[in-house]
Amino acid sequence: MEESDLQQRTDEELVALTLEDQKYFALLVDRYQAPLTRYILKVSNSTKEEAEDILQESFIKIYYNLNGFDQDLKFSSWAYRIVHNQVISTYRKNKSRPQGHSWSIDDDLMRVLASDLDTKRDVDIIYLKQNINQVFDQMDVKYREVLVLKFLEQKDYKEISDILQKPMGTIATLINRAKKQFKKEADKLNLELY
Amino acid sequence: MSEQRLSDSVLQIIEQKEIKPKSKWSFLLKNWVIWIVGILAVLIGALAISIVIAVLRSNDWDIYREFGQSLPRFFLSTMPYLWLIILGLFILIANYQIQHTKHGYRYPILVIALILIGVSAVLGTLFYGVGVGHALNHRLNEESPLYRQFVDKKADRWAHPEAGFLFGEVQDIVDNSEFAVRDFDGKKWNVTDNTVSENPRIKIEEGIRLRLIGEKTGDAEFEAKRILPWDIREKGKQRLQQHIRDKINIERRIPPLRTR
Repeated sequence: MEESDLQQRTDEELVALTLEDQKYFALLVDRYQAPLTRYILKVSNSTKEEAEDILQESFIKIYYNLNGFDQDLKFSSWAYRIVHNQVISTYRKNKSRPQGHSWSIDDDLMRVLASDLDTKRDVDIIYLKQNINQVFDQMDVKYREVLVLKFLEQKDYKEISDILQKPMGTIATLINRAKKQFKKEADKLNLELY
Repeated sequence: MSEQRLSDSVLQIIEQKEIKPKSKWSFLLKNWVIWIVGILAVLIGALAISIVIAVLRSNDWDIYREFGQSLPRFFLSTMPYLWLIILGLFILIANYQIQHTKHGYRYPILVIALILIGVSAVLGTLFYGVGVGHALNHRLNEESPLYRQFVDKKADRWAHPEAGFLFGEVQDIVDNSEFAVRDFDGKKWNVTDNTVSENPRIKIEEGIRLRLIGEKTGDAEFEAKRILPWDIREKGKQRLQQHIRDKINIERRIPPLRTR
């Protein structure tokens, strides 16, 4: 099959191809490497190398469990779920608390986040970008991960529900509480967001 | 790892360690086990409910004052708490199982728990209706003095002939005022019927189960001053039998219609 033709294939088609021949799994890895690496860095205290290790383990688990992939889910939700569980289990083994690490965020996403958090209309996006890591670092991981998934990974409620395996109502509650905690932590750090 | 593409290193590990995707059957089997355990938990919960209903319905509501207690105190002291705990435990197990099905996480835990309690309640009522609750409870009473002492307080109350309360299943009928019964422990008692008139008077027949209030007069002798059916099913059985007897008697008294 032509490379360009394979790039056009959906995730589900690539899963089916992988089950026939493992070489096609490389396409799924390439497709999801960047977004999943960003996700790991945003929710955990990993260095880039540690994130790659976690991601490698996750992809091996994804491959091993491919026959268990629920076609009712998006493949991306399922992949994020496995990565999420791997991050939690890695930090349980190391008995440390996943904390955010420094990462960059593009301006458009920052505007979305600022808008949804009801920050001052004219708050400096650059200022917010510089300080957001500090705020995220202080937040509980369960709140940080929903904010990351909602605003930075731009997942909808159903996808977040499938990733974290919680009801949609619970996700909505977590997001509301996460926003409140974000504002509270920003306040503690004397960040002028409002 | 940064020199090599991640996809290449992943495929390399898969090949070196000969990792193969887990078979579809193992996922199906896991799913079936989750559902089977969940369904079993609901069924056990339903059995618990059927026993709770049986215990409450056949309780001594008609003569609780004989035990020197007020109604609320009597109610609280005779609740089958163990079965309620078992019900709670198996609802938790069933809930856990449902949460771990493919899509179970999408539903709030409380909603699932309420549905499971509802299903157990409906099934439990059906089980009670066909006699499972009574049969199981009675069997446990016969097999275990500890069960009588700590769970089915009614059975324990009627296992104290020295205090004037005796359970008995009628074995032999000697005459109109004497019969033999077997208690929960299998001990045979000779019972003298010295009852003041009870309305409706219970008909002593082999096999029926009775509550006997009176006095222990010997090692295996009991003088009964009141004889009551063991539970409402015995009452119901007797009423039905009496109704059938009355109907037969009425038909015998009415002469047949003459036809041309």
